[in-house]
Amino acid sequence: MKSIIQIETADKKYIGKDEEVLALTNINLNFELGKFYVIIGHSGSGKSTLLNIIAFIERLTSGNYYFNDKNVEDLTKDELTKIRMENIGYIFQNFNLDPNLTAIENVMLPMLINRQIKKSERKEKAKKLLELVNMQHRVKHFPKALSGGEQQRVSIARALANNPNIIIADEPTGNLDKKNEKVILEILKDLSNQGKCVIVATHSSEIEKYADNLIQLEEGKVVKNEYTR
Amino acid sequence: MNIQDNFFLVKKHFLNVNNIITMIVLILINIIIFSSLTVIAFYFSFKSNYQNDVLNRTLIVYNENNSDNKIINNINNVELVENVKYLNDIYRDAKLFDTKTLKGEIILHTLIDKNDVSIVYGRNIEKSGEVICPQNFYPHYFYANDEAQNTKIYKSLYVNGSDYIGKSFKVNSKNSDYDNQDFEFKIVGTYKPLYSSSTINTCYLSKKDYDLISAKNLGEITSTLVDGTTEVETVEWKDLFVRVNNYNNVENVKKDIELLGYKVSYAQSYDNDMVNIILYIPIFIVLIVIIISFCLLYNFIKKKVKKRYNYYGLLTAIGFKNKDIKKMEISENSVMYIFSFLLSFIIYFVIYHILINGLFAEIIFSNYIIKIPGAFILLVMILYLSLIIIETNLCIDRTLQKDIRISLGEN
Repeated sequence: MKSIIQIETADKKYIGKDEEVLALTNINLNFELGKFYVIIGHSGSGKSTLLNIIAFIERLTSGNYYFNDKNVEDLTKDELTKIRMENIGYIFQNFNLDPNLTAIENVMLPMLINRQIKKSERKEKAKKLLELVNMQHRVKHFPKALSGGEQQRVSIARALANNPNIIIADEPTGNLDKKNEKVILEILKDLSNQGKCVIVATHSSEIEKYADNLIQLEEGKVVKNEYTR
Repeated sequence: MNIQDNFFLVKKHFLNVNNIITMIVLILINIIIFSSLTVIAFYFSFKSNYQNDVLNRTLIVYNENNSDNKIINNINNVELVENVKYLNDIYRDAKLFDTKTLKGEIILHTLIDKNDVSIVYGRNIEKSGEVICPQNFYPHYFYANDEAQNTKIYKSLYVNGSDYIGKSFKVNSKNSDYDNQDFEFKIVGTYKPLYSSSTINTCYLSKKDYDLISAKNLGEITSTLVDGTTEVETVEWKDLFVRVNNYNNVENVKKDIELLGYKVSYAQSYDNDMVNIILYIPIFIVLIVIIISFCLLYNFIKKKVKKRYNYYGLLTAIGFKNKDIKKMEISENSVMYIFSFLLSFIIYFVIYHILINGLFAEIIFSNYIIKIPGAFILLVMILYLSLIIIETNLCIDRTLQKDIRISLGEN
């Protein structure tokens, strides 16, 4: 299958007060739709940096990033934000739900800036997404009334709000117990089976079982990149 | 993001602790500023009225020799000369204006010149037995009763003077020639005061009618002589008052009269320095409060933006542009200010009316107007709203320039 994301000879440097930090070195990776990618590595190996690069939150210091065959390094910040809004769904380790919005309102949040979704369609769409993650009975609850697992499920529903091709999850089960971890991973696996490109960064060995492709990072370099299925 | 969606998010985040505290502080600041502006506006209104006030271009001439006033009349810029008794007010009960709660009490004053008033309804005095009363009429004194120490004006007891045109009331004479006789006066018209010396319960009558009901003489002085007997001296109204044609000519006319050998004093004057304090203190307060509030507001906004750093990271990650985030924050802070402005104006308005009818009743009674300086209050609102937009813009710009990955809670 053709790659939706191609990263070629990519470096990412951070310039601190007294030193230069090489977060990523000579990264060459491709990502395809319908696959479940797991990025593993110790803390500081560059996992989150790589996810941020993929999600257009950060730019490369050198190298090329092609999204749908287009080099994104030439795009403006606003153009990147638009691509991110249309194509990327981001799931955070600490859920990052808006505490002032109910579950359904949190799911509708990304739709506020998507002109392709009419206002009249938002609520219905949000309800369907919450059904998808088995949260239809908690639509009017605020995050503080939800468990960790439930909040993460709402977070997944929110990430799907604008029907993105790519789901990025940074340690999505890091704050969950084993039972909820399994539930979340099943949902993410389903999404990749539906044709989405799911990219998960994690410490958890449990997630590796779900991976179609395992990428291991060490000190900003790719030391392993293998298909597991 | 369209306006509706923008305000949906504003509505959802509006009632947080930071906003509530900021609104309370803004309400206090606004009330202090509005009150100070009201005092400043009153000062300028007072100064302006003062220059037009007839009594401020009136001189008292001590006429010990009881000489003819023709020589004074001939001085340049003298408008008229009259016996000083016509400057006095006569206080009388008037049953026509009695209510269930207060008795009718009016002040009768001589209409020296028909041009001293502007007729609103009816007509001016043409003959004896006629009076004109204020159109905005409060026919009571401003003490609730004789024993009351609190000054109060009951707004509900204001009447339209025109409702009494054609009606009459009786006044008891203190003139010894008429031996307590009652004289009837008919209201023929209502007036608007052109100067502030009249109170809101002053009715005007002619010189002739004034002489009918007022005491003939200034009074009696009883002296005990060396031999133990007493001597009663009747003191007559001898002194004169001189009205000058213009406030700016008063000093020159005073000098000219003094040159003729008379002793002269001002009918009314005030300590300019004392009155200027009415201006300086509120100006000082307004300036200090504005400076402090600018700094306070900046700190509030900066703190709020800092607290929301993580939230901005989330919004950016899900596709919000910087301008969407900015629009949302500016809208929220602007709504917060407008809300506090409205609340503070309501509170100020209530305090204003309580004070106008209570503590400042005497000022209102003397026909001085304490206006709400609406234009300046609106200007304050525009100033603060602009400041909030600028400060929010500044804080957000600085924050969004920072690394979003830090705001997402990563290293």
